[in-house]
Amino acid sequence: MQAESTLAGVRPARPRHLARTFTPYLFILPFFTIQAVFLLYPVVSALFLSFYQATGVGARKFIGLGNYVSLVQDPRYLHALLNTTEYALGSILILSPLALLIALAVRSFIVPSDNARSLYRLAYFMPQLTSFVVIALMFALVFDKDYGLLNNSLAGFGLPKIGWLRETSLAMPSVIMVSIWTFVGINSLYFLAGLQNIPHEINEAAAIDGAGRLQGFWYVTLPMLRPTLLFVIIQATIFSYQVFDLPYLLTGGGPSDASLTVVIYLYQAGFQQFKLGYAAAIGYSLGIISIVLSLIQLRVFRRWSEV
Amino acid sequence: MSRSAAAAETVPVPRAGRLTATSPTILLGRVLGNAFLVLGVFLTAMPFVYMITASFKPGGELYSIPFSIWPKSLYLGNYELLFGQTSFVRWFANSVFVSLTRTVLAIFLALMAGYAFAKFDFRFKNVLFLLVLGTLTLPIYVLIVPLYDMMIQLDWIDSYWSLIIPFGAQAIGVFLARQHLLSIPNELLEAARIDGAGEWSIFQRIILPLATPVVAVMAILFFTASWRDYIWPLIVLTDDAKFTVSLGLPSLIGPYRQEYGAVMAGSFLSTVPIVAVFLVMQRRFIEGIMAGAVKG
Amino acid sequence: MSAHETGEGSKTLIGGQAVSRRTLLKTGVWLAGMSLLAACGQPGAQPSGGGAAPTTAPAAAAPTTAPAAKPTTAAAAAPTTAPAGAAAAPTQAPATTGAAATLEFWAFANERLGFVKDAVQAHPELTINYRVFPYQEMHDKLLAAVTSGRGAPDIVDVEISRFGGFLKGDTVPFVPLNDKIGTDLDSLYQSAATDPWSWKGKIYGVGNELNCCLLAYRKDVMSDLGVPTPFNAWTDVIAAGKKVVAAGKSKLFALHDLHFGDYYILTQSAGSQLFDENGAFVGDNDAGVSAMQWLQDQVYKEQIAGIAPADAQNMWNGPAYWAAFKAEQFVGTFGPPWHIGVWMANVPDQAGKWAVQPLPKGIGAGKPTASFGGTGQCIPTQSKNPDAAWQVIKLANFSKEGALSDFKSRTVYPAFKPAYDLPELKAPNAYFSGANFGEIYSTVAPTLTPFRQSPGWPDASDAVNRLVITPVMQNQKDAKSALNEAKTEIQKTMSGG
Repeated sequence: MQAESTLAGVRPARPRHLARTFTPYLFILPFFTIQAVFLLYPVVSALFLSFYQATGVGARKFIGLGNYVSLVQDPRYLHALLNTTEYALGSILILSPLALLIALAVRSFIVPSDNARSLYRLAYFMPQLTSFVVIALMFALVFDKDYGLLNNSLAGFGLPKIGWLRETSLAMPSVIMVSIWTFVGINSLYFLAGLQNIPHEINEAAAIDGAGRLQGFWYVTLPMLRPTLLFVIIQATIFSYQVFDLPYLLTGGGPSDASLTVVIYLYQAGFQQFKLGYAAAIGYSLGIISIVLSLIQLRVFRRWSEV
Repeated sequence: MSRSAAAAETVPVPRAGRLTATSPTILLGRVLGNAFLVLGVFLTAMPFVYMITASFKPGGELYSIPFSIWPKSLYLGNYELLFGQTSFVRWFANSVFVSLTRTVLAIFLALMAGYAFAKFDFRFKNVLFLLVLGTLTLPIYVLIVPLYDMMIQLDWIDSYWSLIIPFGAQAIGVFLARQHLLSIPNELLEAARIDGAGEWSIFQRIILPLATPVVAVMAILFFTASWRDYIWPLIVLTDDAKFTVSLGLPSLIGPYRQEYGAVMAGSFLSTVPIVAVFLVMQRRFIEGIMAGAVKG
Repeated sequence: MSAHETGEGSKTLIGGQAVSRRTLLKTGVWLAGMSLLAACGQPGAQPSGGGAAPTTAPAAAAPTTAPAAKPTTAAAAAPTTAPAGAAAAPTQAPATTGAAATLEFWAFANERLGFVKDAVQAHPELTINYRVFPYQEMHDKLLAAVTSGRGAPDIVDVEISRFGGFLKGDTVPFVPLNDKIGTDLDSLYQSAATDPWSWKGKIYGVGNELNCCLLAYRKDVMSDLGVPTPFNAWTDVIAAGKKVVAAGKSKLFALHDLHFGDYYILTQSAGSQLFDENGAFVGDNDAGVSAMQWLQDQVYKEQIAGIAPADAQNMWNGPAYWAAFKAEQFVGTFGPPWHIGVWMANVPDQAGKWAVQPLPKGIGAGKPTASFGGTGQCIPTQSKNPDAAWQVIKLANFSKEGALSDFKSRTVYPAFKPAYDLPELKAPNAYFSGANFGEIYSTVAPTLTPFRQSPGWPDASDAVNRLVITPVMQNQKDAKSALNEAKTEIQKTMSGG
């Protein structure tokens, strides 16, 4: 590249310096315009609503932080928060590592050909294409106690028929299972894309230097995967806390609130009991929790990269 | 250089002084690894197989004793219902149109913004990025009523605009793109600038090609998210002719009658063309990546 | 080196491939364009030969049990042609009776539109756009519309258990119909037709279903076992149940552990309701407790009943439920026409083997029937055509034609008293061994405990499901303590907690 030769020389003053100052703003402008236009009003409106007791049509009474105070004392909310955290942990500690493992495996020597690679990618992409309603339908059929695929297969091994979605102790784990099935594919794709950014030569170089496969992974690949890892973990956290469709469709939040998540509770409070102010407060509480967790994760990752 | 990179994709590199290409460890790793992956594929595929076979069963047979995956005979009633009594083809076309348009829009906006966050320093950068993340944290149900209100004011109720434009700004995309573009060496950009290239040209000719992997993922993510979208289209659409597949199929399940077989049939059929396109496009991406996504 | 352009600005290169992005974009745009054309094609264009059900209107394809190929009348018109138009009321001046009007009608079940369409057939000046959305979400949409003050339809089907929520707050977003109904009120079984959509003396909706609950059982099984029928008291039923169980194959009842319906029916038979006249929850009174405890006892003490197959999407009945009855795991049930009636469609091979009777005595007051379910047509206050909307409601609900139509399509027995003169409603039902439902219903209907609506209904039904039905029917709690717990929680949420 001839460009390098001029680096050492005098740099002519160019108007591009100014252009460069404006450039980032221009690049983010389209995105933020849409966000500002379409999200600003709802977000602010919801925030205001959370300070009101707004039950049913018409009545609005300003109560300041009243909703939030009720929230932290509301046993159903706290129970939902616990369930949701359980779900989020499943997502971060099981789903994400599994996705990474799959991505590594697919990309590695294990897979002999690109056709096989394509096939794996396809297989993991399929659940992403299916709407939650259909996924819930499929798994309701799979998990059905008497007529389902799972129990009837297990029965072949002599195991008893279990009410996966009907026992309070099994409801949440079953939902987590379905969620893993649904989301492992797209998460592997995230990791695959991230791995594609890491040139093979680096791993070769490490290997030539005498590093074993595991060391190569730990000291070379993983650090270079840091940006992708950060992304996967943070989005897993944020979206896990907002989980609604799968548990709602599979169990309705039950039995007896065993799989009640915060957003299910929000939906019930807002759209079934018409307590819209309270629902807004629940939503914002979730936002606060997610942001705090994300900030913590950002900080942890920053520390890690400095090591 | 590229030759060996290509080779490295498919053939294990002999490690000096350690393992050879055909060592038993590698073979064992291959067997176990493939077993693991195949198990994953099997578990992923099973519910789909179940769904497809369910679409060929009449309603009563779905829940029957003794249990059987395979239908007693090939029942076509669900497909007849789907094509004869619903606007399934129309729903499918709507889904494709809305999802594609929204995806293309979202990719562009997210890439541009992600690039700015990754490769520039500007005032408020951190605040704005946190804002981006922040918008992700509010559940849709909190925003749905005021957003619906806005759509009414804009007269976008029962229109595709309300499905496409408000969700053209995908914060998750900005985050994803930023993480990816972080790894592009700054020297590359500096050199181009010194060469006299304009910012847009840099974006177009350096960033875009290098962003191919993340564009591919974003395409899948946005397209499928839009395809699956249920509650928002349901709130803003009233005309059945505008319904998407994800909106139309669940309407076959009502309080008095549940046409599970038809829903499965519709779901199965609507994935087939998408999968076909995905396979075709995958080829292209893989070729592209294989041939030259090597950074110097 | 990698992605540096080689001249032509229009192409982007990835290594050697001068193609990827552009072609992909082009393909994408082409696909989008093609589907745009397809999507914007003639409104109402139908795929393949299906001339059957009019699909321009309702979304769902679930065919009505009536002959499906009803020609679209002027009423079931084409979708609004206005591009990106607001869904709400048309721009014409408020119409008076007889003048032309275009109305938006929201429903959650296609099946409930048949009788409306039939009833308005003779009035081509009324153009009605029928929109069908899934049950839950239709009510969500309605909430969004009435809360934001925009976008509500002219007529909406509000289900009985979702109506209560709209009574919260200062204003009820529906038009009061008392004056419009006037003296016609006497022609209705108010308990079923108007009480559920009334609050503080004002009637906000009209339902057309008389949902009297009856006991149904397999007569052939009973006669095989030598059990005398009909049953006089529940104790006789329990004795019969024991014989059924002893025979080894079946249990008598399939009781629900996810839905409060069984408890609700028996509470009414015991003489009480869930709420009193002031909207306070009283489901934990003696009647309620005895009903709930009775249900638990049948499963665990008397062991004549099993737990009904159900899941979150099918809490009351569904494919698994019907499969169980088809396999003869259960041989009895109790419920309203929309429950018993669908046996005919879902368990066809048992035709002629079932029989019905009023509810037996023995629980509380021992009333012969109860009411369960129902949907009322309401007019949101946002409607710009309340008079035309009322005309539709009147035609559908206060006419023999409307009643007959719904009877034929859904076997619904009307809340409109004069309809019981119709010969069709007096015909014996072959499936249920010749039972004369019309006669039975019109005999027991006057004994119905008056329905008490309440703003707390959604809170209560949810709390009862969670805190009472599931734990009690899964044998984790007894009825009294569970109901007390539920009452505490309901009172808390209703007082704004």
